[in-house]
Amino acid sequence: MGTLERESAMPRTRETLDLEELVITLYAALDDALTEAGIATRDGKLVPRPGPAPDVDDREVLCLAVLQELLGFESDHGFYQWFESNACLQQLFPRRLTRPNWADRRALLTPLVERLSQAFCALDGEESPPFSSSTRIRSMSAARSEPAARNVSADWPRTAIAHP
Amino acid sequence: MREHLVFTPGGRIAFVLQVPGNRHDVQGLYGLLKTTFRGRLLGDNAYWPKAAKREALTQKGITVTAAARSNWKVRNTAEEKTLLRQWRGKVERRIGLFDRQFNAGRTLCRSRRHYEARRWFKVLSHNLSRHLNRKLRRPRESVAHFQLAA
Repeated sequence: MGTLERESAMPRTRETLDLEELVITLYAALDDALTEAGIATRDGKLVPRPGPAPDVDDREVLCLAVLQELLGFESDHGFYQWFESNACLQQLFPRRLTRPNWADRRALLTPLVERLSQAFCALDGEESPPFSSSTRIRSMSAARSEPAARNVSADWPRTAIAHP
Repeated sequence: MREHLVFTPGGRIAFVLQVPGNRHDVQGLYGLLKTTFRGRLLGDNAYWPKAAKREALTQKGITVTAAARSNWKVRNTAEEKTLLRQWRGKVERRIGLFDRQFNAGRTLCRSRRHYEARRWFKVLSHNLSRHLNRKLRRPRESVAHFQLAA
């Protein structure tokens, strides 16, 4: 599905999203970011590693890990219990990992997340690092800073210092 | 653990770096030397690099404008002071919002590897939520409608 088709499929003005819409929207947005960052999936793997193709695609792990943080779950355990008991998510993600495997697979994707975060900056037309000169942040102040003017009035008057 | 966040002018998180909690703030800046980050930073007076590191930062493509204390020999220009005054409040507010919306003050996990993974995923969720809000025409910094969906 192309970006424009996905955008038109996204709900625009409704007051509330339902969970299924939210997950699909997240998945599509992450797919856009992966394309923007130039990251391709091979055998269900976003991070190249040895071994057979995993049962659960890395993109699904990525989507669920983002969903966990977006919904504000403090612990992995809490999220996993909610995930296990949610009929909608069970339908959307029929293949599931065990909880320790889930945390390990998520940790495996950490190097990717930095690039994806910057891809979202780029997708929003944000100035991604290095910020361009339009940011109005002048460079290296220490190199050009003016030395502080010496406060003469704060000096000890030389005449008042008694020399033996 | 102490975390340093780099925000873009539009409010996205460009980079996150964790350093041990008992280290000085400026170590977060020096830590960027070991990463892929390049860019221009604004910070408070704790981020003022020492001369030896300043050169290394410049070579890496990281430039810093930091507040100066009144008793320091170097002083920022009036323009830089205005810039710092203008941006500091905004950045503090964004840090507070990130903390509240993504439970950034409390992250439960088993090991440092998992901790770092979760912190980076919080950053990704932050940027993604801002991206979706823009597309869905929702308030730019809200996540309440996502949480309502669940």
